[in-house]
Amino acid sequence: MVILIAEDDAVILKTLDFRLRKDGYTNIIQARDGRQAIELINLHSPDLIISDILMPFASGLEILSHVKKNIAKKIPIIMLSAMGMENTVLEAFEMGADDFMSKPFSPHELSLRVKRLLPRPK
Amino acid sequence: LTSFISFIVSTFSLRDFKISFSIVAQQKPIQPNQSQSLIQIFDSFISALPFGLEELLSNQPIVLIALALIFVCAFLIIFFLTLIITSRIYKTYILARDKQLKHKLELLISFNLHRQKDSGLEMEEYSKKRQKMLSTFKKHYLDGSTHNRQILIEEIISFHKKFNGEMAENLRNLYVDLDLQNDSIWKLYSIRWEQSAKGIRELSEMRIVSALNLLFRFIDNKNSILRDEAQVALVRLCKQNHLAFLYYLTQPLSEWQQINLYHALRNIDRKKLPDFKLWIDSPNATVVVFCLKMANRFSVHFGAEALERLLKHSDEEVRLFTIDYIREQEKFEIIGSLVAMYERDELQVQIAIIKTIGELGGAEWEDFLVNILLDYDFKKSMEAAKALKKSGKTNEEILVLDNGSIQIHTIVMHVSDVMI
Repeated sequence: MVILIAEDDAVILKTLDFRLRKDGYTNIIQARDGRQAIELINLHSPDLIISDILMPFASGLEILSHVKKNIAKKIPIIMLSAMGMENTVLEAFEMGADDFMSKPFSPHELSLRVKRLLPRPK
Repeated sequence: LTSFISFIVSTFSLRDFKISFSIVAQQKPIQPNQSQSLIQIFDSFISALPFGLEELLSNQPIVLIALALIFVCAFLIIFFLTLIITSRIYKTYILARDKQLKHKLELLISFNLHRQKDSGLEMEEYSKKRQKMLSTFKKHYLDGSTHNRQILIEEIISFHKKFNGEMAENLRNLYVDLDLQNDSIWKLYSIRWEQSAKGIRELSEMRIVSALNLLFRFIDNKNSILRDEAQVALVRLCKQNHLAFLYYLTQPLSEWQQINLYHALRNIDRKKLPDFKLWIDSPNATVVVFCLKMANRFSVHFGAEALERLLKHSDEEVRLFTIDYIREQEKFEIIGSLVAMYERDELQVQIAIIKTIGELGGAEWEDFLVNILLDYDFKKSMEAAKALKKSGKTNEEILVLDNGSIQIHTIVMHVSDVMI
């Protein structure tokens, strides 16, 4: 099972990577910006995407739109947003996002949400 | 070596300099005795020069002055270049050292960030390892180095801002176990206000409730930044009655600070929100306005008696925000009081009253609005026309009220325009 984390903050990226690996998801790919995320989606076709909304080159919403328009496979997407971006979150849900968490967030809670969307790794 | 090279280069430049000035020198020769002392100083030096330069420079005082100037310039250039290069080398060294330190501190933070069960160690072993790690870091990196401690505080805070729940709690424990809160508290006593503001922010971010009393003395500080930081910190740190400081506030609460406080209040459980009615009699009008705004925002109920008291407040802004509250919270029972106060109030308040009656009032207040419409005060007539339209009157019905005068016709056409 491949999980893509698209996040421009290195600390969050590292922490999420650690958390998900601890939960048994070993195939995790990381993108530091939106453009890299789209390239990795086309290349690996991940089973789950965790994406920040505000990122350089392409936003989380653009990634979401790319997945919904160009990828045939159903990929669940969890959006991460800063506090006070309620309208953007609503827009993301309208575009087909499956879940969202606002920053600051608990990685433990995120891992529970991931487990809800993906089968538990063996 | 650099000085010597500069000197040689400047000497060759002097040849051209000498040629260009020789014409002037022939017309207005400089008296040799004017620069006698300078010549004596350089005489011995010139005689030692190779390549026939001695002949070139002898008995040419203007050349010697130029030479002196070039020497001074060369010295200054070399001095500043050395200064710039040295400071850059030092800065690079500091950056590299801090980067190395941050890398080490990240290891400490990472270990403390995650749960014990994620470390794969038993509780006792985990605690021992953690304690050993803390004491090693303290001994080698933190003891006696304010700079290193500050870097660690900044790292912990930057992590703390990104996470909540257990991770945030673990970071807070690390901050307390390393006694970093004492560094933040010390900053409160600094004579530099920016250091104090930094200390307040650190204590607030790391939720150091024990520092509440220390922060309280900043709430009415003359420095608005310190005041603002302390007030937001108190809202975040107080377990109950988060706005208790409003009782003691004599300085005005700026619009910006009201927004900051609102953001801090948004993160509080709705059930624990303070009772905004407590400050409606505050002598500080900005506090009353803030409470009205918050009551409106969080839909807190204010009784008719309190609202009528606020409508009689001496401050116009308080009256305006009370009317806003009445309109937003649909307090129909207060409309009579609004009509009663209409005549004796200021224009802005009168317009707010007309707008509110347009939103809330029914047919019983139509006569009141018609009277204002026919008052021929442009702003008030316009608001009254809008209010009448909101209460369900058509354009024709409004025009008939004044036998179709041009002014009312213009106003009605204006308020009916959907593009405006």
